[in-house]
Amino acid sequence: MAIHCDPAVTETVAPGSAKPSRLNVKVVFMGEIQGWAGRRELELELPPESTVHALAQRLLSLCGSGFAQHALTKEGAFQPHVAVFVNGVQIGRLDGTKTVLTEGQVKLMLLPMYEGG
Amino acid sequence: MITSLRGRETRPQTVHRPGAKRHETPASDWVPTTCRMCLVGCGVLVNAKDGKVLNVIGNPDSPVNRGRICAKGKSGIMNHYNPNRVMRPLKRTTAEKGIGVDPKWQEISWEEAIDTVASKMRKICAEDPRKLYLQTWGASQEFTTWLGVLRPAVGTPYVQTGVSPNCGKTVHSIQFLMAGGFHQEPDLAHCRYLIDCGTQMGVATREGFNHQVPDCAQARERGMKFVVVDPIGNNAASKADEWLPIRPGTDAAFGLGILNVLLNEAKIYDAEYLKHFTNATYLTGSTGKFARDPATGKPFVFDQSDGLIKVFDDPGVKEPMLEGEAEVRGQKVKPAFELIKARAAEYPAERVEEITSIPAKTLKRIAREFGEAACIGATVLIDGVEVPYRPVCLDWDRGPQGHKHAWHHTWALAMVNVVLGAVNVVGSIHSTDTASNFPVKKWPEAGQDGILMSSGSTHRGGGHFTAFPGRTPARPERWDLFELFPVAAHTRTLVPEVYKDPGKWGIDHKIEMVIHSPGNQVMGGWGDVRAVIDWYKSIDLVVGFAVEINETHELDDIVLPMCTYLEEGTFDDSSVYPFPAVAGEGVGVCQIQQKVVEPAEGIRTIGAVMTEIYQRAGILDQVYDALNHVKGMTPANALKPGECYSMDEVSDRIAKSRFGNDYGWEWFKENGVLVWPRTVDERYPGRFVNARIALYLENFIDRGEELKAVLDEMGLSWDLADYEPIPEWRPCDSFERMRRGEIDAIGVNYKLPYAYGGFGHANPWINELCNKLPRSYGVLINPRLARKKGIKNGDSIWLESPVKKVQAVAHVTECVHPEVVGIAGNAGHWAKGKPLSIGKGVNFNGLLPYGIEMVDVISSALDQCAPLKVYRA
Repeated sequence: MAIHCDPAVTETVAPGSAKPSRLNVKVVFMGEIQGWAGRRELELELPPESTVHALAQRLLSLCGSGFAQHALTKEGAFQPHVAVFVNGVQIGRLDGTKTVLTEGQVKLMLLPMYEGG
Repeated sequence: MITSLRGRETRPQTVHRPGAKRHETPASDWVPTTCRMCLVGCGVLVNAKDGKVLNVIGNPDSPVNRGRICAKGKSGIMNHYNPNRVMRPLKRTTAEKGIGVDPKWQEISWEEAIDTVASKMRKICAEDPRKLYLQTWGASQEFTTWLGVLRPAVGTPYVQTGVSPNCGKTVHSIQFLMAGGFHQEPDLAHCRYLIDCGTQMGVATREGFNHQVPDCAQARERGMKFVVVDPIGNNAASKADEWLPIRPGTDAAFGLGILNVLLNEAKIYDAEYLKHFTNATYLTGSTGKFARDPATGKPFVFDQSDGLIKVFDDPGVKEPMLEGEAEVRGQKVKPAFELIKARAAEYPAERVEEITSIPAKTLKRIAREFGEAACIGATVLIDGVEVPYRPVCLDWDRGPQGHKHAWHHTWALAMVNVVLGAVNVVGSIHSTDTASNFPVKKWPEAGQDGILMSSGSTHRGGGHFTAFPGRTPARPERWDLFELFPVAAHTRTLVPEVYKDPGKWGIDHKIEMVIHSPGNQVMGGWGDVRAVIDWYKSIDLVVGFAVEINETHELDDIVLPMCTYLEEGTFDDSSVYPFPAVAGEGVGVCQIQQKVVEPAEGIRTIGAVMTEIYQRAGILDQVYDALNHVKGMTPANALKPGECYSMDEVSDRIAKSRFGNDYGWEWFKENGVLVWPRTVDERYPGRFVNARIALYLENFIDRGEELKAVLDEMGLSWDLADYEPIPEWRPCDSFERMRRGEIDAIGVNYKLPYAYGGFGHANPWINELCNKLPRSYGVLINPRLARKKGIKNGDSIWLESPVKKVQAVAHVTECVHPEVVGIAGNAGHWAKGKPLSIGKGVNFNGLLPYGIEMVDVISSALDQCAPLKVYRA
């Protein structure tokens, strides 16, 4: 797995009918997750009212097998070890994976892991 | 929400023994802070005058210890005034490294030290952050904050947060599975039957033991039965109603034997709980996999109310079948519970006696007593809310976890609580961290198959890899072979093993720099010390923060002096165990560590040193960005790029982000401890979490099959039998050696309440205690073994393992299993910087054979049975 990342890669996905009501979300991959995704960030247009779970499903198809293998479950949900922040707030403080995304930024990272003492 | 605040008006003299002279110092002269002499983090009050520390006592405001303090905590003063303290940065001037090799230290300036580390860090971050390995445990939570943040900031996967790579191997994983929390402790306020397997919880060890000790004593006064299952008749056994000496490495058989009595003989189990809060009703085919709905992939259950097969979460399911047989698409299927019962039936008490040496009659009696005490179906009102009452707890931790088949030993024990519905309810075992509404909301979620999915402590800036659903195995890219352990929490155990031949594993990068805390990782549980030292020797730059030069520092290239906990302040609400509250207790707690006296001249705080290193390495803004997320900073308090902050400013921003502007750093410095009321669902979340426990680990089948495919590709052949959904007992290497008569005994480690790991023996007060209590530096031998080997009490003897031979003093006692040598603590130091501890006691970890064949294939726990030949010196 290459750990290096190219300078910020921007990918606009499926503009489709370009309805003005589409949701613009920038996904930022931090730390090891950059290596898994092979990029630092990704700009997406999503349907309004998309949830964090729906974002995971979208990333499954966009970010390749390395990302899926490390960050997602077989069902395409975020693994419990992936910390998801929506506009700076961890989704555990919101509505978990059912959190509805808003315009702005989603950051994915691995927090420092507690292992023992 | 914050309705209860207590602070400096508290009278510290209340902690003194009845009858003793009351303390006459005014309360205002006592500074509230947090002890850092071990992992627990008790609240303490420190009296200082003219820059000198005079006394340390327990803080009655802290629910963590309720005013009590242990010998370790008291001796913190002597650590502070350690005559062997490192006062200046040091540089090694000889390339040779190893035990007994003089590093020829040369004092250098902070400028040179920081520049050396920053240059290397800049290079590594530009090339490949995986070349950086961090060891963060020990003596200050600042390591967790300022080193741990590099994982999200720059992307190194090597942030080893435990001194011992063996700590937390299964206990945390099982807590996430079983209860959605991080650690475990009994609800001693209500428990009526406690079985303590391989830990001295409630008596001498574990998180928050300064509150558990009195709680356990009161519970015993109230009539709680206390049974200790342990090869050693230790402090816990001395307080127990019954001590059951168990043969090491047989805990799974003990757990399955208890399950057999409960499920198959006495028929005592919480059927309603199993039906609605676990996957015990999921229908399972002959392959061990669930029968699933082809359209949704969801597991089926059989609804006895109408005789129909339905998906588990069909709202129409009224009476899911727990026992019996059904048919799905022409195939016979059974609820997973039937398979668990069948496995338990393979462990009749007579077979368990052969394996464990615990008499069959005793096992049967204990199991029935325990089951009957569980009061299945009972409820109790807590603050007007009806919650289940299951006043029984089978607690376990480090003992059963330290084995080749660690997962199966500990899962079997954990299942005893689950089948009785005794998890996170009144009187039962508790996760310390399952759910909270304040100060940060955290409730575990149901994920795949309706199973509880939680990464434990994510709400307080820490994460965890979980056993469910597990990760997809792959060819390893990491030095700890993490990819080959798809359900493990961490696999640091493997690092020195990979060093032996990185190419064999396909590892394409080198570890170029290690930065470590003073946790003394060389002695910390990797086993064979030679393998650990060889790995350290291969690293270009080893940097250690030090109070004194310990065995790990002797391998350093740069030593950075650090503050004692009395010189350094930090708001780190992730560090207090058990956070955020004692099991079941009505208040949550947050307490801080603050500077009591100025740092000694020339000493800088860890945060200040690391911040400067990051600035010079060009990564400070990345660190701030990550820290803002890890600490949950609000926009107004977020650390801004390009700025520099004092550590007090950082603490203030974290505190205000967590508790609001009225509770900043100054408030905490004044008051020390913040407490707040907890709701009933926070205190007893067992039935308030809308998710099921994966009692039957179907995912282990898939992960095992996937792992086999990867290993086949690599040309490796591992025994993967442990990747099965139900516990099974399998013997470890030492058990087989004993059976074949190749060794005399199995060396087993046990903890002392006055020493912490390999830390503390150089402290004169701890050393004095150890000298006065001879078992501390000696070893325990049963009279039967002593007679056989011609050993008398006080004799000098040899303990010879396949990797090391050490001399010890024999203490002949009935308080140890006849096939065991009991070795306390982790002494046997050799570092010249710790002169008081050199040559005293036994370095237990150093006796352990090390290698991939010695680790648990599920969790990577190293087998901690030391195969020993024992003879007179």
